Amino acid sequence: MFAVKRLVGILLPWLLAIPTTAAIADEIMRTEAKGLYKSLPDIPVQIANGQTQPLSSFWKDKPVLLTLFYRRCSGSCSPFLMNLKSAVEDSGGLGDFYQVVALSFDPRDTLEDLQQSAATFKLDQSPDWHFAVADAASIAKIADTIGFWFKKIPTDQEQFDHPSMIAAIRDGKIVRVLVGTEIPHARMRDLIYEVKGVFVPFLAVPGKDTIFRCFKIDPKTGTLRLDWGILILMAPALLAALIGYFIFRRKPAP
Amino acid sequence: MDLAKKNTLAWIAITLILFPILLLLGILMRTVQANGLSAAQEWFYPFMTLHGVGMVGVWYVGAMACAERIIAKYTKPSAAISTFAIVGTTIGVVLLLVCVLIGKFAAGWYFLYPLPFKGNWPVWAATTFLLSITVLGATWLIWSLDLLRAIAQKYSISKALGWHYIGGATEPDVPPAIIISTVSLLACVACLLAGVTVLVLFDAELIAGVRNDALLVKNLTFFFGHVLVNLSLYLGVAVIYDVLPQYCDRPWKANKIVAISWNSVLAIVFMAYFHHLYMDFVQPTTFQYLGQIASYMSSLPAAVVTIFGALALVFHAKMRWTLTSALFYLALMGWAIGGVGAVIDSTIAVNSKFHNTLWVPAHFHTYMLEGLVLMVLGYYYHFVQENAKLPESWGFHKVILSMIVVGGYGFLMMFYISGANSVPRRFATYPAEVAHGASYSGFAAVFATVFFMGLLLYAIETGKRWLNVRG
Ligand code: HEM
Ligand SMILES: [Cu+2]
Repeated sequence: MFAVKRLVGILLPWLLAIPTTAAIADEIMRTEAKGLYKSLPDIPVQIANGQTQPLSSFWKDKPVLLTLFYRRCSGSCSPFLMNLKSAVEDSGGLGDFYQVVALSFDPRDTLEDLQQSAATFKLDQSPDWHFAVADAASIAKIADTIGFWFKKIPTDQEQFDHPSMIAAIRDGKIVRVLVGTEIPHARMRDLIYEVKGVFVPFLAVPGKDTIFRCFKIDPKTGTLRLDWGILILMAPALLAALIGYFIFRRKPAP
Repeated sequence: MDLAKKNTLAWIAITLILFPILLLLGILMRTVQANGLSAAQEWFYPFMTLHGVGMVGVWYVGAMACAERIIAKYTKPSAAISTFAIVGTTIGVVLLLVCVLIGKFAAGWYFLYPLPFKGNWPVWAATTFLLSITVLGATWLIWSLDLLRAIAQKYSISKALGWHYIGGATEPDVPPAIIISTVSLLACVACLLAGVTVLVLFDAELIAGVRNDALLVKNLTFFFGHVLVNLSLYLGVAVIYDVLPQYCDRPWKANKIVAISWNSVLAIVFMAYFHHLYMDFVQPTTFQYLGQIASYMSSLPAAVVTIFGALALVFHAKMRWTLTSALFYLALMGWAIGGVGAVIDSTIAVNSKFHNTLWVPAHFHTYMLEGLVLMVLGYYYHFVQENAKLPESWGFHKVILSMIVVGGYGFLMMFYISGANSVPRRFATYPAEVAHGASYSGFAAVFATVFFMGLLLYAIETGKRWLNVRG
């Protein structure tokens, strides 16, 4: 009886915990899938040097990683932009295959705010990072398309509650979305392959590493390579052959 | 009566209790699909799961029980393990009933990852289901290993697989049933190990919270599911090789061609299941082509050799037509017809159209319902009649056979027609675009009821003899 109680005591928290962690990952995946393959509305944006141009002028030149932030954020925006910067540096290809557009969703942000933001992250000299603002109605259209949302925090009118997102845009279409302040490098690489037009046949589920994959994608060349999972796939047949060998090893009785 | 024979009687009883219940669930499903019994709609998927796992399990154990009896003619399987198999299977079935009937578990018969974790059922229902499959898998693994052990006591591996025939020798005589059983049981061990691997991966996710590669789990799941169903049929065929000759007064011997065809099954059967993954664009293209080749190679030679052999056996023989020999004959026919449907669907170009239409249940119900089921029922009747020796009425048996054929093929035809007309499988009710699916379902329910009545008459005939043997 005691043993049973203990077993239940050990198992129960697991059984209860699994649905919640799974639910969070599900929620992220759902958000990431919401905007896939939609066309982005072509809104006018003003970039930090004061110039106004249609958003499409970016993707007509090169694919775009689009993200939303605001200058005064005391929460996730700064760490997120730092993470994005380091993920971009790590993965390479910026300027060759894609550019980054960081769009402020706070209508109070001015050109000066944009310049300061760029300077804070030491990105003001980078030709492939663009900080931009747009009018509230345009921002709402963009947010709606990629599945972004924000709302004022009741206790502090300066601050917004909002997620952190990157949308990869090719030819005006959303080809992949990443949600989360942390940017796992493997997911970032997949994003960049996708934006380059290399088909990535599998999605890493956010939050945890998958054990025993059949394939992994080579980060350098983008080719698929066999992984440990394939060995597991062959194990049953090999093991059965081995067992067969042992069963039939002895000479049958005459 | 010895324990081994008592166990066969127990298997007959288990089969004849479970089969009608699972069959009624099938009729219920077709009725719901015909827009009848709307109260049962919410039970469609739990029942579909119970029906699917139940039928696959029942006919696997049925085939094993027959094969065990045949193997026991030549060597000695352990009676204790045979009893253990009955107990383990019963426990597994009870767990299955609990998780479906109380927990409303409904992930389909092959519980494709990650569905068991995502459905509208409580976590305990999914765990109980996995536990049920674990108990069944472990029990059947031990059972298969014991049968192999028994074969190995009398035959070396080269004799058991008939390699001497391939080498050109004609001596010593090895019964074809032994060759086919050895092939099937080795495949069985592999597929059950694949099943165990799937369960371990599921448990790892459930208990340790790690995440699985969906492609790997899908491959392993169909390795398990496809091979299990496939080898059940082969065990049934082994039984026919052994028993049908008794009704023609002619031997049916192994030879070079028989040995080659079954060895090629063993060599390639593990790759045929790739045809379940044709739609998975992540699966490497090489596997897809291998899947098509292996699907042809693992079914055609063995089927052609067997059916040609059976025809040669029956042709101009002093055939004794009884319920058993007729069921065997019809079973080979059903195997051939279903096999053609399967080979058509395992062709990549066709599969891209037929995938997940009712064509799929159409072909597998053909070689199960009009193939394997008839092989096992044929043998069961043979077994009890051989021991009871009651007088038989061929006229009455022809009535039973007609109901089984007309009801069965009528039911199947509705599946085929629906599939060819784009009706998808696994829809509880049909949306407007495929509303024609509903009327086919109605006819199917009627035909299936005819089959059911035929089955009841069969059960009366076999039951009488069963009671007589039991004493
Ligand atoms: C007259 C007898 C039977 C009837 C009326 C029947 C009926 C059905 C129906 C209506 C379905 C659901 C089809 C759909 O996807 O819409 C089904 C599925 C299935 N049946 Fe049967 N069936 C019968 C016999 C059998 C037998 C003998 C087997 C033996 C293996 C079997 C195995 C299965 C399996 C594995 C599934 C698939 C379940 C899934 O999709 O998860 N059935 N059957
Ligand atoms: Cu922020």
